Amino acid sequence: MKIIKSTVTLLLATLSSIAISQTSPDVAKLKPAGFPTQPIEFTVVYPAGGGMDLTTRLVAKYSEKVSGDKILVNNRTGGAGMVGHTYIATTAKPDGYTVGIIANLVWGDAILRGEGKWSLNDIETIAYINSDALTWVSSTKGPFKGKTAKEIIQTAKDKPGTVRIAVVPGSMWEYLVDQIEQKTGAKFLRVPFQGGKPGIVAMLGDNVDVAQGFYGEFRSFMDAGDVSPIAVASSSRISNLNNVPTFNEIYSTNDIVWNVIRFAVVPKGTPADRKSYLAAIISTAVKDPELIQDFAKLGAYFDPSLIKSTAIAKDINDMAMRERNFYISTGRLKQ
Amino acid sequence: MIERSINFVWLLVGFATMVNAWRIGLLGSMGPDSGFFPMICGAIITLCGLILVIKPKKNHVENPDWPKRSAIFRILGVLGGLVAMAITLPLLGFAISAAITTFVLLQTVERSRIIESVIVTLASVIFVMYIFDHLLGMSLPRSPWGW
Amino acid sequence: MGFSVLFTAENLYFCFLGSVVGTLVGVLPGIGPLAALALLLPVTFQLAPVAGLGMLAAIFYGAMYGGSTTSILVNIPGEAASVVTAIDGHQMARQGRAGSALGIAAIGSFVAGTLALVALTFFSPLLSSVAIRFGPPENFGLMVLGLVTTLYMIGGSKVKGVLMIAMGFLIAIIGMDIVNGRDRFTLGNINLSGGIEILSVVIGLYGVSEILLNCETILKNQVLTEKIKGLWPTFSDWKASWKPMMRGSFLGFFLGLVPGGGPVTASFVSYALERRIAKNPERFGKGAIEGIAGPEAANNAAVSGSMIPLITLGIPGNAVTALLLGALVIQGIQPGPTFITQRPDLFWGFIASMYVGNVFLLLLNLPLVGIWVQCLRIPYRILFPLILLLSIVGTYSANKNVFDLWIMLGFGVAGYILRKLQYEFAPFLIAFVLAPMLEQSLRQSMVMSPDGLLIFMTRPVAAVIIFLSVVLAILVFRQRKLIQPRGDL
Repeated sequence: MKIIKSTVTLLLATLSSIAISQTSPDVAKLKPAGFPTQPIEFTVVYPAGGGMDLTTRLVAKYSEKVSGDKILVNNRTGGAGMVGHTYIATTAKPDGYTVGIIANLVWGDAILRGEGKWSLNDIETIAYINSDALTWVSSTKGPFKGKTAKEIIQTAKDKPGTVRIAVVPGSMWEYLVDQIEQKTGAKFLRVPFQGGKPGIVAMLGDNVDVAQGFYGEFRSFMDAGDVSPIAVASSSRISNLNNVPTFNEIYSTNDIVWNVIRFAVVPKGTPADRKSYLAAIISTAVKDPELIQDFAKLGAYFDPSLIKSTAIAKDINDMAMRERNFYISTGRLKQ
Repeated sequence: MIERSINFVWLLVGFATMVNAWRIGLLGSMGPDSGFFPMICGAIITLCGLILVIKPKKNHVENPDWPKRSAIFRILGVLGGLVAMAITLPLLGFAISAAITTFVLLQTVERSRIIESVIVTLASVIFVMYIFDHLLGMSLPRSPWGW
Repeated sequence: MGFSVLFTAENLYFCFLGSVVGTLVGVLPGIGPLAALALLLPVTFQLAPVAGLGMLAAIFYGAMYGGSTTSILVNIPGEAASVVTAIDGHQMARQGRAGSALGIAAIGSFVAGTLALVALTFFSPLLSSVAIRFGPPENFGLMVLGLVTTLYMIGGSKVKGVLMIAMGFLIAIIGMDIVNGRDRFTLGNINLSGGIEILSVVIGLYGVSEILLNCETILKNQVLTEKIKGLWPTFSDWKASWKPMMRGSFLGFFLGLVPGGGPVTASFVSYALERRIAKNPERFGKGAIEGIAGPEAANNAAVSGSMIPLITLGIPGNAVTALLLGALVIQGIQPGPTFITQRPDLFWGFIASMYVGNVFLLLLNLPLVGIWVQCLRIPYRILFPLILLLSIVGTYSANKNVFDLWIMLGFGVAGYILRKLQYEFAPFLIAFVLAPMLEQSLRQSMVMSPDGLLIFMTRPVAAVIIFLSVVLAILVFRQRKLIQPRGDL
């Protein structure tokens, strides 16, 4: 048994040594003296195997490649991300050895549930990774087949409470429905689920009429002809779904944007040189063509405004503020 | 005596649950709300606790096998070891924490010879660390010195 | 065709490797297949799909083989799906029949695993179309059915048993309410916001309490007190076991299929079933071999059962299959309705690897029986620190949160006290497992339904299941009166 374990170790060691030879010179330039002397931890706040986890592992793999440093992925799970977010914001040492790979879901945690223990000021964004846009899908069978999003929303307005939509309470799934209802006066019947996928499956069994999810979640059903995407909550059309209109198009506005934005953060107080080094590693890794392909497999895309950003921390912060205003306007947060 | 206190504990837990559930709210706009199931659980627990308190003979355990003095000492030793582990793990890292705990446990519970305890401690800790930290890459908490 | 895909050196090697790791992981208390899969997930990135997937799957069902080992030998479950095996398995070990217990566990696992795979091979498309129709009302019905079967597991005081069920429910509720996102019973502690980790509960309740119990006396030199009575199951063992194995396979397969089910639920329900229909139920808890044959078969069959929604629909039924899904996705494979047609080579290669994996595991575990039995001779005082250490690491590995260790400790102390007072944990555990899904399904159904509770009548499948549950529940009380005329409430 030890022999087999050693073989695996050998395999891994060989593979990682191959990786070292591809260090990027731009990144190497920024490497601070004496750092790192131990593996860097990429913290994921969600369980292994999920979308966030897979993204992190890919980023870690390519980050190792461009930097030659050892990176370990650590899942600190619990409380739907809250435990991990709290760890990064409060417990993790700001010494450059902890990088949180998180999503904009942290804003909800910080603003609505942080309870004064920590806030978004305790973490600093260093690099953008990718995004995933929330999409509405309908079934290709049943009474709503073939209808556009606008028609379905109209039905929800004419017959309030009859159109069943799958939501994940306390997150963007709900916020998107809130916003649509606010704008159009429609009223949906919200059936709670724990994620996008269970909602989509429920729709296939005719338990809800409209489901919300990400490309990666419904793609196989779309390919099989069981579901069809009807609207995307992104700022512009997504290349994977370029014949699906965006909500912004449908309602001639530009504020119906709900997507998962993944980015890397470090705890506040991390030394500036280590911060820049880590930022360079991740931004370079994310531009690797193979990684871009891998991301496409997961269904993620690059938000054009963020990928070109030169001040990513500010841009992310602005978006966080916009979400905060949304909470206030919908009564979730008292001023 | 302990049995009776446990029976009262159930009553307490059940009642506290029901109160909390009531405060959270039983019914919402769309059917059962957050407090619904806790209320049911609390009610059942309270009821069972009540039965246990009122009819002790039926559910009484004849001579539960409570430990004697020396045994209590040993048990406290194990518990102490576990508590020590939980406290020191984030501070001292796995290697040191586990080593101290294991050694203390062996000495308290078994009173083996010191040499034997040291050997077993070192062997166990190294074994566990090797499998998890090095082979499987699981990153056990590190000591302040980085290993 | 699948076998031709499978039989490359690489694929076979990793399938074997997975089997070994799975067994090891199952044996180690605290570390379950989920932890091992999470750790080895990155390795699969570099591997070809069939090899990587085959390895991960082998770890999953391998753990079902290995988990029974520590359950039987030292009364500490290797992981949650082997808790039930400890009840009768350990008693058998004390009577010198450890070899028989281990053997039946291994063979039962193999038989069930293979049978379930056959079912998977032929019935996947049919079953997945049925699975899709299971909405919240039907799920609720199933959860109620599962809960009713726990009533059958209560051997002693019924009041205490029901109390344990309610407590299991309550402890499971601690955490965020999934329907409206609010925290319940968390006393302001964010660590509790995600609920209490089942691993901490199992290891604490069973593992730590067991160690505390053993530490009362000067540590016996070895666990075994009687002479070892041979290594192989006897003929009468076989005769008693084969039907439970069949039933367990059947039951486990379907329970694996159901969302929120899986090997843990399957093992418990199988135990309850065997006890209910046995001619002399008093033997259970004292070394009845049916108490091993059924559950061990069930948990293995459930593994294959849970693969069906994963492969045919891309729906993971539990955390382990969710991870497998991730492994597939990262290889660029989207399991779902088109999987079989688009990548038949992968699909059949994967299934073939599972057949072969089961064979590997049987060949691996049977000879090991002899070795494990000899391990019983190791002085407990050397064994127990290692077990304790592994339990700690295993528990920690779930969320990398020290808080889980405190939970483990708390449940350990509680478990110790409650064991002295003759409370049973099995009802607690299964209530703990079923509660979240039960509550969620009920509330989802209520939201969906325009006419409130009537939704359970208007949907035929749900109605049938609930009716069945009610019938079984009534029968429980009748049976009690027959068997325990002393009026043991």
